[in-house]
Amino acid sequence: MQNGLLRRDAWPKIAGTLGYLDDLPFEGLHGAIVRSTVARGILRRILYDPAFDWSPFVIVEPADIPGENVCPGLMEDQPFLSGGEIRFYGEPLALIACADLPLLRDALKHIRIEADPLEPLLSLEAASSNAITVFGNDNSFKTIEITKGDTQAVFSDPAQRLFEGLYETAGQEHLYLEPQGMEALYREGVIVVKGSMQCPGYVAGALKRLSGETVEIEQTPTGGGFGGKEDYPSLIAGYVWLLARKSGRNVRIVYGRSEDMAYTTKRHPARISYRTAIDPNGKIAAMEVNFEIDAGAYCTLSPVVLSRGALHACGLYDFSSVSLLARALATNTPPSGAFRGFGAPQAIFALERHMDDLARWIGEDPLDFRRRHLPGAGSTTLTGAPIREADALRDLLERAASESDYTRRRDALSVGTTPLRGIGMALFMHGGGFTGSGESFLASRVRLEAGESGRVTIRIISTEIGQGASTVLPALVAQELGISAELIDYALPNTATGSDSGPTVASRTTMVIGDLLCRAARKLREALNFYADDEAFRTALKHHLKRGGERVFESVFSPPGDIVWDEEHYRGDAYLGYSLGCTVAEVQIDPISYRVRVMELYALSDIGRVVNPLLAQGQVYGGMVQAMGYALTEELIYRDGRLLNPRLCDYMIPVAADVPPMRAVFVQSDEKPKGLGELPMDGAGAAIANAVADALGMRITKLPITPQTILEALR
Amino acid sequence: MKLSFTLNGHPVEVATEPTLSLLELLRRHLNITSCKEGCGEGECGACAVFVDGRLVNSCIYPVLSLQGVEVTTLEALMEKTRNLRESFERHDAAQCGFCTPGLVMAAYDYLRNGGSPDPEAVKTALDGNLCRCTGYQKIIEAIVDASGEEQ
Repeated sequence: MQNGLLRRDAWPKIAGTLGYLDDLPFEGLHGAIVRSTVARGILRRILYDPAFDWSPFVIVEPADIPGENVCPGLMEDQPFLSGGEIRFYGEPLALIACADLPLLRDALKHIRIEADPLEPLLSLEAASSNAITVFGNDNSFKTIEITKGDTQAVFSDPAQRLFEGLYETAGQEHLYLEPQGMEALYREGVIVVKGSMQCPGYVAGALKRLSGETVEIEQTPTGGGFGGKEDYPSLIAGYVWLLARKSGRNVRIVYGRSEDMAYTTKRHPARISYRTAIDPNGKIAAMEVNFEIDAGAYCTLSPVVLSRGALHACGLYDFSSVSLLARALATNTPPSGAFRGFGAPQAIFALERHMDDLARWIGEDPLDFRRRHLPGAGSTTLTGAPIREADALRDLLERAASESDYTRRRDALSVGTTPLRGIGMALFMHGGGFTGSGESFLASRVRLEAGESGRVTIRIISTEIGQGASTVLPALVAQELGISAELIDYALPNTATGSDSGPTVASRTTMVIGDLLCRAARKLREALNFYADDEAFRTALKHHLKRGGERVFESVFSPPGDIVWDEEHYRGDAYLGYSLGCTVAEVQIDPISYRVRVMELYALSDIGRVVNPLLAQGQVYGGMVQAMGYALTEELIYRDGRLLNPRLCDYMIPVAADVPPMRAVFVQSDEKPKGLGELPMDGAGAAIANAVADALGMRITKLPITPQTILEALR
Repeated sequence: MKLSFTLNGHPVEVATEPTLSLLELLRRHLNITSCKEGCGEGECGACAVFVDGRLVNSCIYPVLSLQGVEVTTLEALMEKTRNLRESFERHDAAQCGFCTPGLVMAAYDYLRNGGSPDPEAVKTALDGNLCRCTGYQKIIEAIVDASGEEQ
C-alpha cells in the first residue's frame, strides 16, 4: 500500500468508536432555541405559560448578551437572537436550558410567540421585481456587474440571431448525517466551546464579538459538512456559550433532524437567464447574463456565493462579449449559505443547459458546439485574464468524449429504438481557493511542530470533515520530508493551539493549505542533517532539538506574483487556478411515471496531481451522487415561509439502489494538486439535465427534474 | 417502568420512561454509542441494532417491547464483523463515518444470511441506509469484496 493511502480515522469510524459530539459523556444542561412562528413581523413578546413550572429552566434573551448581538457575516446584519424585527419563520428569539431533555422538549410547547405579522417576501421572483421591499431599495444584498467586450454593438447587428433561456434551480439541504451540535464546557472556570464544525476560526471570531472575550474553540469529529457547517455553527456556539454563562453549567445543544432541516442554511435557489446572439457562422457572438440568487433573510456569505456563481456563469468558453448582472436578493426564508460548489452548480447547470439548447436550436451536436467554443491562445476569462487551461480543457473534452463513447452512444440513442433514453454532457471548471483577493486577505498560516520522540505534528485549524484532510495533509508533509506518513501526527483543530489556517471550504485545503504545509516541511528538512530513511529522520530530528534547534516551522500564504486581481472592477485572475471537469450522463425516463433513472455517470477530472487516488475517487462518487439528488429528487417545499418537509421520509436523497455504474477518471495536467471537493457536485446535475433534455427532445429549464417538472415541460 | 432484557449477552435491568426509544435508552442510559441518531424516524439506518436476531432501527423501536428480548449492538460484534470492517477500510467505504456503523450492521446482516456478491443485490440490501458522503459505490465494493469471507 502506498505511503499513507488509507484513511487515518477509518478504523474507529467503521467500528463506531469515534466519539462525535453527542457520543461524548456529558454532564450539564441541554439547550434549545425559542423560534419565531411568523416569517416576517415585529416581536411583541414571548409568553411563558404561567401554569408551567419554570424553576428548573435557564432562559436567555437578547438583554443577556454581554457583547454585540451580531453573528458576523459579510454584512453584520444577523443577530444571535432577535429582540424585535423577525425576518424568517424559525428565527431564534430566546434560549432555554435544563438538565432533563424530555422536560425541555415539553417546555417548548408552553412557550408562545406574540408578533405583529408583516407581509413576507417569499420568492426570488417577487424579490427580483421588488414586489415587497425587505432590504434597502431593491432587496439586493450585493450587485455585481461584469462587462467584457461590446455586447451592445453585437446585439444591434441585424445579422445576429437571438436566443433566450431562463434556468431555475431550487434550494438543497446538505443532509450531513450528523446533525449540527455544539457544547460549552467549563474547564478550570473558563468556558471552552466544542462541536461539529468546518471552521473553528469563524466560530472563535463570532464568540469574540458576542462575549467580548477570546474563547477556545475545539472541533469534535464531524459527521459531514458540505458547507452546512461553515458559518452556521457560529450561531449554535453562541447559544451554548450564552446559556453556559448564565447558568454556570455546561450546556449542549444537538439539533434533531427536523430542526436541522428546517432552520439551517440551504443551497441558494437561483434564476439565471441568458440572452445570446449567434452569428451567421453559428458562433456565440455576445451574451447577456442575468444571475439572481435567493439569499434568504440575512446576508451571510451570499455576496461571495454570488461572486463565484457569476464568475462560473460563462465557464472557460471563448465568449468575446458578455455583459453580466448578478444580484443576491433578500427574502423572508431561512438564510441561504455555503454548500459544496458555492454558486457554481447553479451557474454550470444554467450555462451547460443553455449550450445544449443553443446547439439543438442551430441543429448541431452539443459536443461539436462545445468544441467550437473552446478557448485558444489569446482567449480570456469573463474578467479578462488569460485562460491558462485552454490546452488542458481541449484535451479533457476530447478524452472524455472518446472514453465515454459519447458520439456512438448518442447516435444509438437517437435512432428511435430506445425512446426516452438520452445522453448529456457538461464541461466545466471550478476556481480553487477563495475568490479574488480572498486568499490574500486570509493570509493563512500553517505550523509544524517537531517533537522529542522524533515525530512531527501538524497544528492548524483546517478540519477533517470526511473529505480526508487528516489523511491527505500528513501524506503531503511526509512526501516533502521523504519519510512515512506514520511519523506525521495531525492534531485535532483547536484555536488555542493551532495556527490560523483559515476556513475548511472552497476546495482550498489540499491546494492552498497542503502547499503551505509543504513549504513548512521544506524548512524543517533544510534544518536537519541529511537522513536516508525514517529511522535516520527520527535521529536527526531528536539531535536537532537536543542542540536547541527550532521546534516550530511555519509558513504563511503569499499571493503568487503572476496572479493579479482587481476587486473593484472585477478584472484579472479571479482564482489561483482552475480544476477542470467533464461529466457524461445517460438517463432513462419511465414513460408512465416520468421518473428519471440515471443509467451511467462518467466523470473526467483534471485536478493536477492526485495526492490520494483512493480518496479522490470517493470524492467524485460522493459528489456526483449528491448532484444526482440535486438534479432529480431533492425538493424543499415551503408554505408561508415554513418548510413543510423537514424530514428524511419527505425529502428524497439518493439511496444505494439509485446509484448507476460510475466511472471516475483523472488526468494530471499539472504537478501541483488543485481543488477537488466541489468539482463533482458542479457538473453532474447539468449533465443529467442535458441527458433528460436529450431523451425528451425538449428544453428542461428547472432543477430538480421531478416527474412534475417533466409533465410541465411536456405541456 | 422497569424492564429486563439482554444487552450484548449481559442481563440488564433498567427503570425507564415508557415513551423512550431503544436508541435513546442505549445512548443516554446504557453507554452504547455505535448506534447514532441520524433522523430519529427510521429512515437512515444509522441506529441499527439486532433485537432477537432481527435488524431494527432502534430510534423507532419502543422500549415497551424490550421485555425479555436480546439486543445486540456493533460493540458486541467486533470479531464477527472483523473481515467486513477490514474490507470497508481497504475500500475507503467510510468518509465522515457517521452512517458507517449502521451500514456495517446492515452488511453483516446481509452476508450472514447468505447474501449474494451481486452488486445489484447489495444495493437492494442497503435500502434502509442513507449515506451522504460516499455515493455508496465504495460501500458496495467493500461488501462485495467481503462476501466470499466467512462472517
